[in-house]
Amino acid sequence: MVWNRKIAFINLSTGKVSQKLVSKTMRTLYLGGRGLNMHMLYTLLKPKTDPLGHENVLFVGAGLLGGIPCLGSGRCDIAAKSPLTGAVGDSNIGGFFAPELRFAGFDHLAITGKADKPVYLLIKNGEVEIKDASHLWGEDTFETQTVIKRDEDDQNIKSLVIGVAGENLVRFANVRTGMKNSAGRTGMGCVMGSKNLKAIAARGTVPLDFAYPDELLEYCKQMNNMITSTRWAKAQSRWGTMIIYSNTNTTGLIRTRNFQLNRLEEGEDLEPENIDRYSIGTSGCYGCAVHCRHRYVLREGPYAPLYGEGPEYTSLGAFGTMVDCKKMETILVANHLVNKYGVDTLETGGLIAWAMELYEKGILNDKMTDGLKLQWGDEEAVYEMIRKIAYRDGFGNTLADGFRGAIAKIGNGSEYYAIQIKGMSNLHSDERPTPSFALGIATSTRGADHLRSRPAIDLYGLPEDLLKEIYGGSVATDYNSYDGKSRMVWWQELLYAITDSIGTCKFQTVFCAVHAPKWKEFSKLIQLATGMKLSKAQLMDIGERIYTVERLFNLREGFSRKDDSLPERYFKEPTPIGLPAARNKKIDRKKFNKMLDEYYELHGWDNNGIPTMETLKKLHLDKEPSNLT
Amino acid sequence: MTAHIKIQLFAMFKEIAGRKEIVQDIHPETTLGDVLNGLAKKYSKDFKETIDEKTRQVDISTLVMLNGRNIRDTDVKLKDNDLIIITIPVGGG
Repeated sequence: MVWNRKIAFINLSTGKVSQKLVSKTMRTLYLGGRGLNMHMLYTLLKPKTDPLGHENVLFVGAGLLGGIPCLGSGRCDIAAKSPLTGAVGDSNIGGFFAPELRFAGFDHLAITGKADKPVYLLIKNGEVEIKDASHLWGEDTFETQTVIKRDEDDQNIKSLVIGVAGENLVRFANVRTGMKNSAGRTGMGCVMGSKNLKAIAARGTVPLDFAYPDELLEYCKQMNNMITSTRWAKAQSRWGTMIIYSNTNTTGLIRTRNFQLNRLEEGEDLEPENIDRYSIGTSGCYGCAVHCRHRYVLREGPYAPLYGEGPEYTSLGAFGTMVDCKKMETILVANHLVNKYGVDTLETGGLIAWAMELYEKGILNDKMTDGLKLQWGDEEAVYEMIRKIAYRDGFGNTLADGFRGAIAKIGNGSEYYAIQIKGMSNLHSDERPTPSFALGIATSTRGADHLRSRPAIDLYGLPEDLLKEIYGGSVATDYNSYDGKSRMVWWQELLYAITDSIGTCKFQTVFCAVHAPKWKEFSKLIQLATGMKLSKAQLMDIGERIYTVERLFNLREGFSRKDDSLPERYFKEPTPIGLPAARNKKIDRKKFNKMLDEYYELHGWDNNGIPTMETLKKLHLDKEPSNLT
Repeated sequence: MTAHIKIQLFAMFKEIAGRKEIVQDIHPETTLGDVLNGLAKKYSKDFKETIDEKTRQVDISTLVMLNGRNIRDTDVKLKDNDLIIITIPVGGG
């Protein structure tokens, strides 16, 4: 299945397309998906490349296991230098695109240059065609997909598309597929827009030849049966990721009014059960037995009729808790709008919440916001800001450049209130009571982010012997503790690097549940699908290699230990409310720095976070173009 | 004055019980195990799986939090105004 899949190199400036097979050596070093994308990002980009220039390369990569019938194997990794952060740009998207790309004969695309007019790529059974997309420019992300299917007279085409936000070079524009799925983070839609690339459409019928098809099918059945029998999968199937809200909000682990509170009071309407008023059922991604997304309809009200899918827990925060909106309907409308325009839900909500706090404090005024009163809980202001950002209209143009650009324009102490790391917004979780989560968002290579390492099982109070068995070292049971939490973050970083490289869903690994599939199961699936024998230790080394390559990329771009930190408010302002375990908590700077030292050591990096030569040699990275001097 | 605790139920526990919150009187010797066993007797289904039969601790497929802190020890004695959350360990953002 792996050995006859190709990389297509596409230059949109010249229209030239070349293809080559992925070597077996590259597979054993990086697997596929995020791993191979990161290798190419590091080796093909020159230092200080302009993220919006012709030289930036957009990489699209299916996972090594893309197309197997379990673990949500439809994940696709999209990478480039980020126009939001200037660091590693990388975002992962579910749905059905990645398997279709593989059926079309390709595992990876490397797209460089800039088309002189809007184009889309049609990838079909070994061929890549660059087609005119002038008629699609200005269309939203839903309509764009519909028109491509109609134009190509093929309802089975799967497309990655951008909306108007990508066209307008909003620095956190996303890439979308289907009604629900988004590669949300780090502005990969902005990179597509900078290349005049409206969409990438795939369709194919080239069979995937698995190494041991019968055994693979049987093992996938076992995986699906195991997952669907668990209580967490049943809950995800019933309520989606919104299920997390009830517990975290009651406890006081959710940032509210930007970062002023850590619980949404009177937030009962956001309880997951209330999606039942709007839901007409659930659906899932390719190869997924969980089906965690709701299909919802608004039949009444000013925004009816409206059909959407989701929302995720993160959207409850982005357009609920962070902006102090307390109605489920607000979440559903805002979720639909960001999906339609193609902007990242987290970044958009984070920026609007920040702007609301600045407005409250008088740092922003009506003149600066085009007369828009950015008051807490005003859903109409939220909807209008989403539109203004997508179209770079007035004050929306300020926020469309992300935190860095907006802070430079607004100044006046606004930076202190920004809950961002490396230029990227954090989600709505409040990590002050959970040092492991705090370390994870600080060290993430792509900016404040829970999907690089979040050890969610830290919240479960698991027995120390079980934690030791999983993490290979001592980890404290108490989620308030700093002890061993660097090990948790390091281990999860390696695991998620593998998950993103084989193209399976993080919810079906040790994110949600301690007994979910991990190294052993991944190893067996890789062997049955491809014939490659990789032990747990070898997979951990691959994860380490991928994460270290990302680190090298960021170091080369000027990032350093000082960027692996938290917004000052985490150290200075204790959580004001919540249950006792979450109340009056802030991050201890000294203990945080100790965790960071331990974390670097586990990776084999020095005290400044620079990989040692010994580590580079061990990972076969010593010959790579480090350009660190 | 009678001491009491509050129990909040989420996910399938809320659905099975048909309510989100229960206020329960306790006496000085009431333990977490007493409360969980009481709920299992009353509501059955998933409530019957909250305690690991071998270890007599909270089963790892259930998340029980006492005043916001996860807890496994079912012998812990409860006190007035304690808040117990019973849900499933499901993580994410």
